[in-house]
Amino acid sequence: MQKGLLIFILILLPLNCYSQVYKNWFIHPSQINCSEISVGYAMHSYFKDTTAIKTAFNNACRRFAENEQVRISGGQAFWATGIGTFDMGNNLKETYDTSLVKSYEHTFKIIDTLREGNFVAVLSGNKGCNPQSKVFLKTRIEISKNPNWINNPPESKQYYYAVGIAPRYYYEKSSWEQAEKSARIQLASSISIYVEVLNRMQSFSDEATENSIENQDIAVTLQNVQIVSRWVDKSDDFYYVLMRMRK
Amino acid sequence: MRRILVSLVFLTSLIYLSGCASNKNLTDTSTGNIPDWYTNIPHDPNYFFATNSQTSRDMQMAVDKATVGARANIARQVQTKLSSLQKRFRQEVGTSDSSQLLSQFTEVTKNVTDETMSGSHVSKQKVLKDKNAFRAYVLVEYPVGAANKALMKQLKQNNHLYTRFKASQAYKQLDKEVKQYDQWKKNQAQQGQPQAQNSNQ
Repeated sequence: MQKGLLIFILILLPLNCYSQVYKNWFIHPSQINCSEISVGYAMHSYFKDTTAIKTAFNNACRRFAENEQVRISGGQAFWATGIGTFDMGNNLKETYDTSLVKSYEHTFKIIDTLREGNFVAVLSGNKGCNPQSKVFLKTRIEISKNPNWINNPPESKQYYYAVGIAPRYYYEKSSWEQAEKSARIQLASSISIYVEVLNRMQSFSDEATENSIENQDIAVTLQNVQIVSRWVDKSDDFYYVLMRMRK
Repeated sequence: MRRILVSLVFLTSLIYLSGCASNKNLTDTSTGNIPDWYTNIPHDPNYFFATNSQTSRDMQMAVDKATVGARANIARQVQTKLSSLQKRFRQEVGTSDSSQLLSQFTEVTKNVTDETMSGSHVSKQKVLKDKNAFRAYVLVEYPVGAANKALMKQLKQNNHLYTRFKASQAYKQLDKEVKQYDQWKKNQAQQGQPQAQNSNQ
């Protein structure tokens, strides 16, 4: 009895807190030695897991088509004043060839699945893809082990890097999708961005106020975008995605 | 012994639960988590740096506002640099030479400031919870050489202006900076490996 209690304490102490467990392929997809892989997300299905897995597989194919080639266009404008910055509108959009999704559904296979709470993820790749066993190992996301890249995106002469960030939404799938979208837009902004700033000074007796309209436009096509890493900051519940594209 | 063990189990459970509870406590700016690079903006003669911080109830909006603000700040810095170059060119050319040349130069620099920035990127970012909103801090950098190259490209499109500008001291300075940038890029290419890895803290 006493021994059992001691073992219980020893196990519980280092854990300290509940931490999420993902598989290596989800956290470090760049470690997979296949040229064509994609991770798809879905919500947990209450009826049958196969439905969720099928949805996640379809999502993986969609995601692969999007990362192969996506056109990011549009812009956003803000009005910066002394009392704050206000959103003036945003018409950013992503366009990709959706007809490719069906063809990937035929050429891709499900390699592994992951279920964590109400979230389901599927690793899929081309039929010849056989990743090493280490990518199927589980990784525990722990507080105080945040990777450096979440605040300091890597710099390289070979790749453009971008970090996307999203808060925790009710469905984890939405958080990962938002983080990916944010990373893609940042990646496009790094490649080319049109910046327009209109400054306006106003003077009333001795007081001068300044406000400006800041506008940015993007029209960039991203090709062969890769997700290098994913991370969840457990202390703040923020979701991060590190993305890259060859220069 | 039994009492000690029961106490230990109780304490462990308490630590366990408090650890989980801390997951829900979001980092607050009042706790002094403002990033160091935000207050001490890096200085490098080869880069324009700009920081910005914005809040919003929507995290993406906070990040977007901060990034757009920082890029706008860089655009202003580029404008200042080009204005000083323009001033030097004006001093050299003088009013007697050609007012048309000067107006062309003004047009060129204005285009560059309003035009595309290639290679500007978020080099650092941090998002914190600020009361009921998110506060995003960003540091955007833009290589000076890239701005100079854009200006040179614009100038070359106008043969008459370019020929006149080529003879000026302002051109020599700009050309020197462009060559330095090219050399720097060449050195970067020879180094081969990425500067930063996805290392854990």
